[in-house]
Amino acid sequence: MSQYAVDVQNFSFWYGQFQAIKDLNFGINANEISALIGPSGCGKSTLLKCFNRITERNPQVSHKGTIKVFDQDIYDAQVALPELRKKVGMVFQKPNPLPLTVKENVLFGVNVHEDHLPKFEHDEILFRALSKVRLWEKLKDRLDDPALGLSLELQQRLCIARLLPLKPSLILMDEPCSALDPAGIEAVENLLKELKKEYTIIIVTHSMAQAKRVSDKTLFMYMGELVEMGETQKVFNNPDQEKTRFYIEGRFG
Amino acid sequence: MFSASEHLIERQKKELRYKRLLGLISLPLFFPTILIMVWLWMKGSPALSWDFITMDPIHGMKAGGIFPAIFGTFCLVFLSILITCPLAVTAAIYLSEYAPHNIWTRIIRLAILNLAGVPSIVHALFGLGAFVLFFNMGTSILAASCTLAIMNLPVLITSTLESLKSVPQAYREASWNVGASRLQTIQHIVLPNSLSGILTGLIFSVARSAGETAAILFTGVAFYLPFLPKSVFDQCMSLSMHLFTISTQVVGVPEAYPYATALVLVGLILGVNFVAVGIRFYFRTRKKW
Repeated sequence: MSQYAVDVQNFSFWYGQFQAIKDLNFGINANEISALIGPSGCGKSTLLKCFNRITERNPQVSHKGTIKVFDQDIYDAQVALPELRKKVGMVFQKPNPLPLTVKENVLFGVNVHEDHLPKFEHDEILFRALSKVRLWEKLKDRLDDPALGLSLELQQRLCIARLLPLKPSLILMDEPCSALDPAGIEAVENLLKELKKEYTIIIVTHSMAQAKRVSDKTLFMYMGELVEMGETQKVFNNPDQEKTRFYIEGRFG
Repeated sequence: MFSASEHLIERQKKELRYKRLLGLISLPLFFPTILIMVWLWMKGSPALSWDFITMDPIHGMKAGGIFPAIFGTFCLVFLSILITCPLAVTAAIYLSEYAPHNIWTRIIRLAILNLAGVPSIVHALFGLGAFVLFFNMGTSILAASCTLAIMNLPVLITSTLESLKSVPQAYREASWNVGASRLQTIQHIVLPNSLSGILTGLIFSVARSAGETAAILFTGVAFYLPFLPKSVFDQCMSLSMHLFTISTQVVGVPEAYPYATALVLVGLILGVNFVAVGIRFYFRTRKKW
């Protein structure tokens, strides 16, 4: 039994010949928000995409080491990718609702995984998922409107809501706020703080202010290596490594 | 300070000149359509009547109507679409959604492109050899429809591929990322959003089949039949062939007859197009983006 929700051991990752991730070892606690920060190309997005293995859409990738999500090795031969992606949900930089109605978007995941879900459960699921992301009051009269007609912030919240009916154990977020305006960012950040009571969240962000505001732990990556990991307050106020300090002070990146 | 300079005025004049020139060139493009329709109507409308559409030709096709030809064209088009559509759509879905990019799928794509370039009379010869003789269908509606189907296959595959490609990749990925399989993604996301494009391709096929003469010339169409086909193994008449026959092969046909036949053919195709535009409009309004 690992004490961590996500346990990464000796993990390396290659795109063809290029090693994007170099021998990482760390653990992430359940019900915490962990922020991955670092300059562009440091491997943080790649690492995030390894957690639900969507890196494998690129045919020339390879890896070494293990990643365990709630004690399950996700690279085990037994792992079925659709199941993995159900349990490890992902939110993208650009909100990507499906070209369906609001309602169909929220129910898409469950309908894909379960045949013939009874109709009365639909309303229940819809209500719970939308309430959780604080969209129910706003959208309860617009459930049959196209999701792509919503504002970006609402779209992004809808994309988060879409994951919830699948009861994910881990939610990955790849710069979820970079397409949003300040009010939208604040709304999504508040939402994250609430969601962490039930979910474990890993967020990649370019905004150090955001990492500081929302995360419990911060991981600083540089050139595919994990330079420093610790309590967010500690990493930002009193980093152990000089590189971390330089990055946070904005001297490079 | 912001008033137009000499140079800018010159540029604006040039802009205007080119705009007018381009407009002038594109204006005549719609004249042929109008002219053809008006010409056909002027020449053909005297012969056009309810009897002309519903009666059999009589007196060696010098009088009577064209009903068997209308019926035959309808049979040929319907059957050929029935054959092409499932083949083309499944092939396009495979190529667009499943096929890896390797030498084999490149060969398949190349074959489709080449098939599209084959002249229709060559298709007719192929149809004669393959369907009429080898598969022993005889000269029949079935053989002619198969030939038309082969002819339409590349057009429909290409247009279906295009409309599948027009569905943004991000939607597919979003669907995969919640764990949907490829099939589920195709079913719920890709197909519903490309249906209007697929239908457009289908309309083109219908129009092309209805007007095609060469491909059905020696695979299943007769100059004149005193009775309607009873099964797909019978021969039939067709509008395009009938038009050819009464314009060039029979002496003493009233002058308005070929024009009226052409009018009916064009009218039928226009009718099909309008229905299809209606269907497309319906799907467009249902589109969620």
